[in-house]
Amino acid sequence: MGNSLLRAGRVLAALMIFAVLIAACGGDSSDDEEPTATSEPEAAAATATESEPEPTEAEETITLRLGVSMTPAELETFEAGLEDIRSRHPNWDIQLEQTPQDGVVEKTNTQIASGDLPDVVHVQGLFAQPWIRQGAFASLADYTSDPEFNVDDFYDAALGQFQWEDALYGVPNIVAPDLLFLNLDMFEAAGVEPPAADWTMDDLETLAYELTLDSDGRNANDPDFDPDSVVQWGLSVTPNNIWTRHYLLPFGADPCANDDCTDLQFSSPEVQEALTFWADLAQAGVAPYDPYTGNQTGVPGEGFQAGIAAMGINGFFLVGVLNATGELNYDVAEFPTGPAGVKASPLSTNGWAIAETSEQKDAAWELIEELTSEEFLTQHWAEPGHGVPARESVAPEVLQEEAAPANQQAILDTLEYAEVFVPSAAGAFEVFGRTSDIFVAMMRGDTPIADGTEEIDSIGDEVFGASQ
Amino acid sequence: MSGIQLRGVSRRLGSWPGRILVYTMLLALAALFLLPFYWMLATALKPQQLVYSFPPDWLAGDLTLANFREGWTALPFGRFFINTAYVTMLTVAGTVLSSSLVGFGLARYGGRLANLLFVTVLLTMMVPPAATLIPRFVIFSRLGWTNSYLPIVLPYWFGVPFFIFLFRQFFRAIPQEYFDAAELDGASPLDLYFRVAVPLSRPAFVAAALFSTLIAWNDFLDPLVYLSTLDKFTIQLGLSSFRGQFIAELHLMMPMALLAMLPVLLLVALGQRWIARGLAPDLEK
Repeated sequence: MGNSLLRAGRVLAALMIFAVLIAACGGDSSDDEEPTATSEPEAAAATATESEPEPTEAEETITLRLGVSMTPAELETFEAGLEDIRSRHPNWDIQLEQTPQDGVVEKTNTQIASGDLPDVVHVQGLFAQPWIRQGAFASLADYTSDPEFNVDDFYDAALGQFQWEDALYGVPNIVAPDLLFLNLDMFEAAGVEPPAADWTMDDLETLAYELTLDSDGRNANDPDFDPDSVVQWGLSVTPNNIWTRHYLLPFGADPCANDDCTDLQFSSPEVQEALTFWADLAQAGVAPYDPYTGNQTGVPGEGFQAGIAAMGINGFFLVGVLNATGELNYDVAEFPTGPAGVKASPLSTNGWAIAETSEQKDAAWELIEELTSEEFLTQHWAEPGHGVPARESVAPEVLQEEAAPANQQAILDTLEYAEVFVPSAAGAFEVFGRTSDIFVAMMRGDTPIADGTEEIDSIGDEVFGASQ
Repeated sequence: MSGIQLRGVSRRLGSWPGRILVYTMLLALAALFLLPFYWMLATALKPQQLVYSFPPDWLAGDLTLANFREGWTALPFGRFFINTAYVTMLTVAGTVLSSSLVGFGLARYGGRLANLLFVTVLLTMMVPPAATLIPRFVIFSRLGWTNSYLPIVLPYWFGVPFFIFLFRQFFRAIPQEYFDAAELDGASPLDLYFRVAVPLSRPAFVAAALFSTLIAWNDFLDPLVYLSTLDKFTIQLGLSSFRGQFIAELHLMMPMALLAMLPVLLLVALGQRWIARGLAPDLEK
């Protein structure tokens, strides 16, 4: 009996010790000792704050949660800018909340469902619409109408990504068009000139044939060319998913039957004809039908970056990567003009939104104004690899004459007509997932384009019909 | 017939050509499985500009430790290691203590209710953790526990179905006579647990501790959802932070991933014999 009590006492004591340890798990992070690696900027911030005017008693401290998803390099640049903002607003307690990129959707969905979204959140454009339509973000209509903010200075396409029923729910901070990347060494080795500014889809096709090499060094115009042993692709990609409108628009073909592209029309005769152009390139062996998985090319990811394609279609971010590694001698070009007399490029964009549940909306908006000011965008976003500032007035700041590529003007010129990826409404990722294999099969020639596009439209109808 | 065939196979493998063939195949398979680890090591030691080179530079000449230094300081990885060790320690303690107590109760005190409870516990294993993510987050958020380790650690102090199952099966394999003898000496239920069940079930405890260490050390989803500031991050969140929207800083991610692997690799190497014994109770031997 006595032993039992003793044992029970020990168990209770052990539980109490662990309860104390567990209690130490909780509490406000601000009470904890800061990690050494972050202590320097924080110490600097503390010093900076000391020299700034302290908030008066009348100025109540406002806590603003700021949600971001950034790499360490991006965070370093961003935090420096944040310190400037903190010094201008000593009554703001800005709490930076970082989410790893791999978990952005899961975490944001959880926070939205529980009403715990940070006051200001950095949103990737492609994810924005479903959350806007769920009512996760506050309408910014009253704020953006302020002439001083000058909403007209932002690229229209980027604003459109955050628009829903005539109201704006986010303000873009960066934009990034896709560009045509050119491996200048491969051009030189093939004895062909890089494309002129007014090049066409026919020129693209001609170059793709001349620049593709098989394992015996024959280009695709050689009658003995072996398309099954390609070691150098003329072009790195072909249309491989639903977000490939920019491949089709130059041919006068639009896969979207409505504004937000929730009504797909890939099976229209125009789109089928445009897809046939790309499928012909893939089946001739000058561009891979399966560009990203590595199953066909032997390299995971896009082939230009890996140095196995003479021309590549990729985002502006690649400029930063290529310049950092310095491995490729490259330039960029605008997309070629198609038979319809137009060129097209997709546009990625990110922006800031205010949580509908925020109790500090006015202060949150002031923070967004700071984060999208010309000064902030110039100092902290105008670097290759980050993105182009979303304000047209400061976008040219991204150009760096001393660095590659030589034709940087193509970046700004592309922004004039680039359009955001559509569809981006709820269900878009499901349609993307269910149709990507169909695109590969069509490009490879396994599935007739008429059948494949019918199936894609049908999946679109099913998913978007159910989710809208 | 099958016995004769097996003996034939055994004889063939026993000869030196057979052994060479088997070992060659095993070495080839081992090399295949080790290839990703080699790539990780090679990437960790390569200068950044060689990370994306194709064909891959498997035996890079310019080896450097700069990536380790840069990765360690790009984010507070020292803090991440301490945080992860702390979370893992509490998770393992909670898992082993609570699951073994529940398993002991279900094993020794049978009856319909206990069986029903056991089946209910097993049924909860069928619910994917993602399905309960939002309700759990709502509860912990209302309690004000977000950005703390409480939501990550505390659930483990209320029993983990898999380990309850493991302990129950192990405790059931202990001969009833041991418990009867102890009860004759006046042992209480807690005495039976501490003096009979625990000493005879060390392999199960070690196996449970090892498995829960692996789970806690490598957990991504719970820390992702509940932790928001870098000073609270665990290693897995830190590693994932090297991947951006458009680019991945692989030259920094790989050296840190290598360091993150070492403790668990060491643990598994030291405790692998306990894992097998813990999962296959065989007290008769």
